[in-house]
Amino acid sequence: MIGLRVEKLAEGHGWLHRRAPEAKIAAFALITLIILSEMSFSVGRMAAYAAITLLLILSARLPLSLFARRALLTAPILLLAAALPWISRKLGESAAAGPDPRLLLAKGLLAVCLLTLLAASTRFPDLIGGLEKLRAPAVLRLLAGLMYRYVPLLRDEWDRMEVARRSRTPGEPRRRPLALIARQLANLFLRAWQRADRVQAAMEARAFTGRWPRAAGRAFTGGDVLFLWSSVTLVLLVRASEVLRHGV
Amino acid sequence: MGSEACGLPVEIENLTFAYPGQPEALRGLDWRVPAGARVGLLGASGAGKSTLLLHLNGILRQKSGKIRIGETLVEERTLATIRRDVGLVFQNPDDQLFHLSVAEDIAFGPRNLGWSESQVQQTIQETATALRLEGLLDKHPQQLSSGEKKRAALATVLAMRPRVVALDEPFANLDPALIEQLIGLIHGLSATVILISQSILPALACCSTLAILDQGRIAAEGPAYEIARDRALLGRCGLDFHYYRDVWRRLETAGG
Repeated sequence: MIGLRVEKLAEGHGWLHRRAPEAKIAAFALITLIILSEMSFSVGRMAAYAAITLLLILSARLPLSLFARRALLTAPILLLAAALPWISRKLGESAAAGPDPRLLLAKGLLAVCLLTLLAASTRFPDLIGGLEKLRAPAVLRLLAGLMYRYVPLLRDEWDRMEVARRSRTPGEPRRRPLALIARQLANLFLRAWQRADRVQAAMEARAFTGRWPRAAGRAFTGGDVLFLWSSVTLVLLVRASEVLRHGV
Repeated sequence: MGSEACGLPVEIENLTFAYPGQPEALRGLDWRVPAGARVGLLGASGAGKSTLLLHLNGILRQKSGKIRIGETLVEERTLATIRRDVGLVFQNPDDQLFHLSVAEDIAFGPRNLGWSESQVQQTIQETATALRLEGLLDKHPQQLSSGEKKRAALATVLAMRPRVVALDEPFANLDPALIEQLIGLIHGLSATVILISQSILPALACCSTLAILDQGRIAAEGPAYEIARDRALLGRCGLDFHYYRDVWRRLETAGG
């Protein structure tokens, strides 16, 4: 499972792993926003963004195969998004020129790589702690934490239902009836609901009153300031090169 | 690992409760557990054991009757005290462990009680040492084995230093070696222990007193060995475990 692999990689000890989560969240959010603000495709600038991303990946000592796989998984969706304006023009839906498909594809792939880099260099509890320090709404943090906790439980429940179904299915049908999948999904929902009730009782039993207790975080160091400042400035400089050229 | 003091008494008076649209699960139940006692509460499925357990720290509220933990009456305004004093260990550890690491799960209760971070960290280490979870603190609960999950679930409760520990079916789905391990841990608790179970044998190993819950009331209570010998009573309440002994004797006879 890719999710579990990312979780394991996040336990690493690379330079990027040691940075404060709030610095990483802020840096990656700013870098992504700067890249997304690109209005025209330039091989030079996109290569520069890719080089900065690669530098960050190397600083985290993460395998490039992880990013390649993620990029491959998202590429079809990005390609479709990129092709939509062209398809629309072909169908005569709109005469106006849409955004450059190459730009959409490049921005999408860079965003996916940056998000993967953040997830693979920061443990999930630290991410939640970082969001807390950045004053993200408590409900958002609570939901993110519980959803993350529930994904493996839902997977377990689904696997159990699958085993029960297959054990009573003589021969695997080529196509499973839609009604059966729907019933399994409904069952999954009910089981998740019951489990949520029990988890809520367990939380209340341990004096939970609805306010998520604050966890101790790591200190914000000079290295974090350097990382935040240098990475964002570098990306900003690449972005500014376009503005400067147009100005000249 | 246990609480600083040796436990609080539990007093239940005329407790009645019904889930919406259903017949009464608890019917005027009266029960007293002395401070520091180890009591096994036995009952067949649907007897009301888990329902009673959820009343002990106010997760469920009674239709009528009173529950007193030490000097404190269980009611809305005393919930903070009650949830500090009464620790509930749920049957399924997956319900109890909802954080992303064992350490975070252990810290959850103490943080809710407003302990300082240094106290929380110290408690995590102490509890982990006591329950042999030292190497597992950074693990995700999903990465633990069944026995480790049970120990982690117990740790999340003991970290709050409860003076009453109520365990719901702690021996369910455990192999004999793990049951033995858990019995040892329960023996080490220095709190009032209420152990809810359908299995008499492990309960006999942990508790000096057994109570039988049947149809929402305490049907019998007494020294563990005496209750366990009363086959007629156990049979009436759907708990006859002597059947296993009969099977064993038949096997011995056949083998011999």
